[in-house]
Amino acid sequence: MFGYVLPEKPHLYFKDFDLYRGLYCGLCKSIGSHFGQIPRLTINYDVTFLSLLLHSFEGIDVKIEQEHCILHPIRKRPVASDDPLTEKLAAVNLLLSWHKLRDDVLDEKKLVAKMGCSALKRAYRAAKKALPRADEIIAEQYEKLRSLEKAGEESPERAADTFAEMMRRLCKELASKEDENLFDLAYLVGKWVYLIDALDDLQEDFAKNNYNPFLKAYPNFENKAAFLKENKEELGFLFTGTLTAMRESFSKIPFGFNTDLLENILFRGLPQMTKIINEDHLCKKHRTKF
Amino acid sequence: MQKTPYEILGLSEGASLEEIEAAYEKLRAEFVEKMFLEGEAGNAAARRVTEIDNAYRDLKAELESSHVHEDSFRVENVYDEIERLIKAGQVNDAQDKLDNLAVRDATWHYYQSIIFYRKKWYLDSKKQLEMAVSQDPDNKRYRDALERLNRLLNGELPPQGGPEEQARRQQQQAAQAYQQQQQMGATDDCLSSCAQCLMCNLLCNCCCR
Repeated sequence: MFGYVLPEKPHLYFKDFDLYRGLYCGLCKSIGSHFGQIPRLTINYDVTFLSLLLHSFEGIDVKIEQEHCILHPIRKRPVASDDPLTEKLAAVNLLLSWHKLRDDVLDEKKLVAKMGCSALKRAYRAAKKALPRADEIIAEQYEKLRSLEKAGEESPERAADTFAEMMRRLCKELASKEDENLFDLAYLVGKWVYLIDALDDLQEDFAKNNYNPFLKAYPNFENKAAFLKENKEELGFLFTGTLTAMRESFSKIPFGFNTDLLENILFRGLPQMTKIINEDHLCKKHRTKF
Repeated sequence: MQKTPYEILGLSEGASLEEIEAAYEKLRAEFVEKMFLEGEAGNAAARRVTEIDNAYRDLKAELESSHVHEDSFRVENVYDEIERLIKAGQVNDAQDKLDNLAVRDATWHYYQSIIFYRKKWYLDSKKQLEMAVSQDPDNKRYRDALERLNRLLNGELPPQGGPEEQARRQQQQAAQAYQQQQQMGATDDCLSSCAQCLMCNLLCNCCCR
């Protein structure tokens, strides 16, 4: 579910590469200092995107300093200093990761997920104490998602709505002012993440007989390549529509800073990832790493 | 000046049947009592009672005739109500009202597609619109809506605002342009990493020829 919201490297300015790395590493360090070292393993790009989005919206600048980190002990790397917003996002990162693992435990009963849950338990409790409403939102939406999945929901958009609504409500919780366009953007990004993840997991879900909204919407699955070719038009409409709506919502949000990085992610990164997954070009392990 | 029946009963326009009946009974009882006064006061009260009776009779007749037309307009009124709810942003209430309708005709699918569009479920919206068009192929409104929605594929979202909305948006964008010059996280380190790259490039060019 996490790891799809990425910038597009070729069109990335150096300044934005540093900013992105800084936000990612800053978030990781914030998790470490507030919730412990093990939870740092749950750091993901999606919450990094939220960090970028909210810092830009709130007009909160980040101070980037060169620091060491446990994975990079030799050369110093750009790291954004901690601030109250980053601390909240660190808690959100933890809550999202924990609930995702718990969902895996309940659905597929994976052993790895169970171990992950117990390793994060203490940190989860601290994060829950820090942001109780965020925890409620995530728990509620995952519960709705589970019941839709159990009922075998056939509309991918209706299934995605639960996850998308979670992102909208989280954004609303974290933002200091109301902006429906910002919340719409969060909704659309959440929807995109859910659908891309579902499309990426098609083969695996088919093999393991797991719920997948696309398998329900378009039965007669044989293999992924044939499936993508057969349903190309509808899938194309689904994703293009979502991306177009994102562009529309984004254009109405007043940001406090230069939006080059946000634009790179939303208008180059996401379409590139959409293309990769819809055309099944690269398998997961060969995709761009940051 | 001629008083309207509403004014005679001391009510505002559009009062319900219950309000009219309550006002009538109260006012009539008041003046019937006064009818037993002596002289002009009694006569005046009697005239008022007649006036009140006529006003009540007229209003009741008016309301009853409008009820006859109500049933045939009920279905159309529901769609008007749904449209009003959608415009007011109460999408879930509109969906509930739509779910309560038994007949799923072209109009039903058209309004369902509007609700889905508002919820940002574009593919589901398109499917509903396609159903509306297939059930009512001669309806130009549905065809045009489907064509506008298909333009989403080309990256054009059907506009929701009129010319004022677009002018306002242009103004807003112009105002933001200045604010967005500021770069987030701009520190000397940014320049130093660029400088490092330049140095490396220089060194590489010197050594590895």
